[in-house]
Amino acid sequence: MKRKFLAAAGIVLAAQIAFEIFARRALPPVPTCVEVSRNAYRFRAWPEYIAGLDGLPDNATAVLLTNSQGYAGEFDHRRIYPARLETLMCENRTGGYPHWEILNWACDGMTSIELTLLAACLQSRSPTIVLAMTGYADYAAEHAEEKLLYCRSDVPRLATRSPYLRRLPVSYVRRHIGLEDFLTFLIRDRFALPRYREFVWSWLDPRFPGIHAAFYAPSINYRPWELRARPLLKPLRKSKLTPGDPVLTYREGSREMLDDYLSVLAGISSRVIVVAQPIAVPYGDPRMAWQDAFVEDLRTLTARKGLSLWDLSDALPAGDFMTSSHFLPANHERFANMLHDRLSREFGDAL
Amino acid sequence: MLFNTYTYAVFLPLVFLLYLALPLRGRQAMLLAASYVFYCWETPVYGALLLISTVLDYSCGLIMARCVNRPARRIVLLASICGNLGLLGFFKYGDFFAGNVAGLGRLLGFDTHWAPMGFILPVGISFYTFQTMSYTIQLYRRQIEPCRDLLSFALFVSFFPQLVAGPIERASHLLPQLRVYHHIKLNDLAVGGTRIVFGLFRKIVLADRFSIIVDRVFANPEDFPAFTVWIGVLAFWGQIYFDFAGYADIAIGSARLFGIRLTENFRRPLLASSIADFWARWHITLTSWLRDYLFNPMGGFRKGAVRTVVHGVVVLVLCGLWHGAAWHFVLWGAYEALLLVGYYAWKGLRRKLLGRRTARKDNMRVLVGSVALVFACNSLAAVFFRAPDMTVTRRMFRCMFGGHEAAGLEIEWISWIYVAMLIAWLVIEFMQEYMGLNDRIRRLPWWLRALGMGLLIGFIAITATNLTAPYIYFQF
Repeated sequence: MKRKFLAAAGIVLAAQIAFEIFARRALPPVPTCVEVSRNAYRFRAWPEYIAGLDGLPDNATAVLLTNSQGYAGEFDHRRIYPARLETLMCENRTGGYPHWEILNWACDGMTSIELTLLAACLQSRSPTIVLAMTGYADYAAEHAEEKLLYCRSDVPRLATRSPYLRRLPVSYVRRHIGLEDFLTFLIRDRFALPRYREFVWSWLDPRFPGIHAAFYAPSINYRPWELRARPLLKPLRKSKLTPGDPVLTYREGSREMLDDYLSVLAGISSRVIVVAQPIAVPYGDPRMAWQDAFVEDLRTLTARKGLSLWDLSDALPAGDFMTSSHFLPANHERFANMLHDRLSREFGDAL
Repeated sequence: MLFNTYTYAVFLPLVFLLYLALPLRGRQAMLLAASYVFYCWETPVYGALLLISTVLDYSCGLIMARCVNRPARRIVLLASICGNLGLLGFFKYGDFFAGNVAGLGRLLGFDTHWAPMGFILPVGISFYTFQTMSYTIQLYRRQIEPCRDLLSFALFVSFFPQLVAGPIERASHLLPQLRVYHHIKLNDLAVGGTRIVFGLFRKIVLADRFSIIVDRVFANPEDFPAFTVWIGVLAFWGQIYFDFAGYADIAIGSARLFGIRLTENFRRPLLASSIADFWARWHITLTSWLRDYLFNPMGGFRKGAVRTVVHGVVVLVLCGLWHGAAWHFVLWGAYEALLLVGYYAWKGLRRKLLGRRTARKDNMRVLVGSVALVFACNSLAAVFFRAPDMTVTRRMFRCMFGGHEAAGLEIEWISWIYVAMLIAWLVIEFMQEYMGLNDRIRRLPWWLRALGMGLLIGFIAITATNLTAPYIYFQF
């Protein structure tokens, strides 16, 4: 009986190992930013993406830590401000560097949970400059109690790696890293199968359009693996379950999240500039008060931590905003020019 | 703590290893501590309620043991029941009743206002209060001896595998098992492990998947053709069954690892051939609790047809209310009562017309027809159960019967996948019930079963949804 039991347990274990090996060997790897200029898989494979930075050519590198404003998924990646800024900096040899590479660390729906983790990753690297583009919604009080699992990207996998975990403020760990979240991302980070099961659904989705949302992940509106195939069936109607944009407020709890993020930014050895993102809010809108409180906190905290601050909240015309925080192409162009002018003027050859 | 989490996947083996290493008293103390950790994981303060319930019934048990005459014992029993129902009433029904009384007052022209207290319902309170009440009731009836060991009793109330969503155990069944040292057998590990894996499959592959279409349909029934709305309703049966039965599987499997056998809570309810049969197969431990401690003491079947009907209606309406403090649950209970009354009326009429002759049970056509009828009737009940309020209930019924049929609505292909899943469920249960499927699987070579288990675990990993949904019955 004992021998049979052990043999049976061995068979069960061997089957799991076989699944894991299959996931590692047979499924295609996720391209990193080194391979594609704008990572189509940006919601996934962040750790691999960051690991890929070690192999970058010896360019001047600017890292843009930003959110949906910099991701601008609705436009061609060559038309958004990070790409335009890169072109301008290369053409003008900003700072005297012959070539610039802008790494757009942007993700749709980015929160301060992810921003702080990405900033922690930069502490062990030395980009030429870090531009931390940020707005009040990144520190929404509604996110103060959220754990790592709240994030849509897989950036939280980084939190399970000790070099990055060590650099996170204790208050951040206490606030955002619960045991279940930690274990979930630990498993996803160390084992391929839980990560690659999304490949199965992303493979099925172009063939059976809509199956990803209707049979696997109802609350996410993107496909982690952008695979192409001829549809075999009619696309399913989009579910109306996905709630509209939640109202995000800057209240108590927000300042602590901002403080944590800025503390981690202050630990980066490169030149760091914190930029209050442009927004367009009608007069009298409650968001104006939140924005004001945010900028006020940003001023106080950056001064205390010795970080540079550019307040560009009102820098762009409201007419060229798609939403209160997302640009139309004209503002992407304006913003790229504005950032380039500022970088050239303030640092010039001395950068 | 949820069963379908990595935290539980770490917690259970840790507790098991400690259990292996400890002597009896150590095991009891460790299991008690583990149970409180399990229960207080999210909201520690509600551990106090568990403690209050434990101390109350332990004390009542000791006092009752000293009482020689029946009236005195009855007073102690009443104290126990009032204490437990008081906790339940305050935390679960306080807002509901007060809100309704205030509403009634306003209707009658009084200036009555009620600001809800806004308590979060303590997880599992309906389960453990019923379980601990069963102890004092059994004691009152002299079916068991009082438990003088506080540690064993506290563990009986809080034993973590079945603490938050049953099975609701009787003291006579669980307490003796908690008081003896179990030598762990490999068979227990194999059976327990298998039940846990099947429970996970039922929960994270089936129940959570059914929930996707259920949530879509119940959110906007007007967006779908009547056929899809029906599929959504039937899928809710799938969701709630696999959710709850999956929970029961993991509970029974986890307890089995410690050598403890819990009562089965389901017996293929989909195949019920009458509404009475359904209640004998669905949530068995609650049904038997209500039967033994409510229906029978009221008089049960012994007081004539009219009284039996009244007893049945009262019990099922209370059963509805047990599930949740809302009118749609009351309505669900009343609807189930109506079905049950209808069934007994039909049974009585048939007996009158046919004498002692009744339909042969092995007549497959009659059986299939009965199963289909019960399933259809219960599907309507599902609308009352799942709809968050009466407005949605009305909208659902209108859409189910084509009252909304707007042009351009077509049946999406995904609906057919859910139909296939429902049919597969029916076929498998049928094969288990009538073709001995489980025995056939048991007779397979051990290595083939092990391989099947390995493949099933991998299949779960690949096909699970990305939801970490809590169990439906946790809210009760």
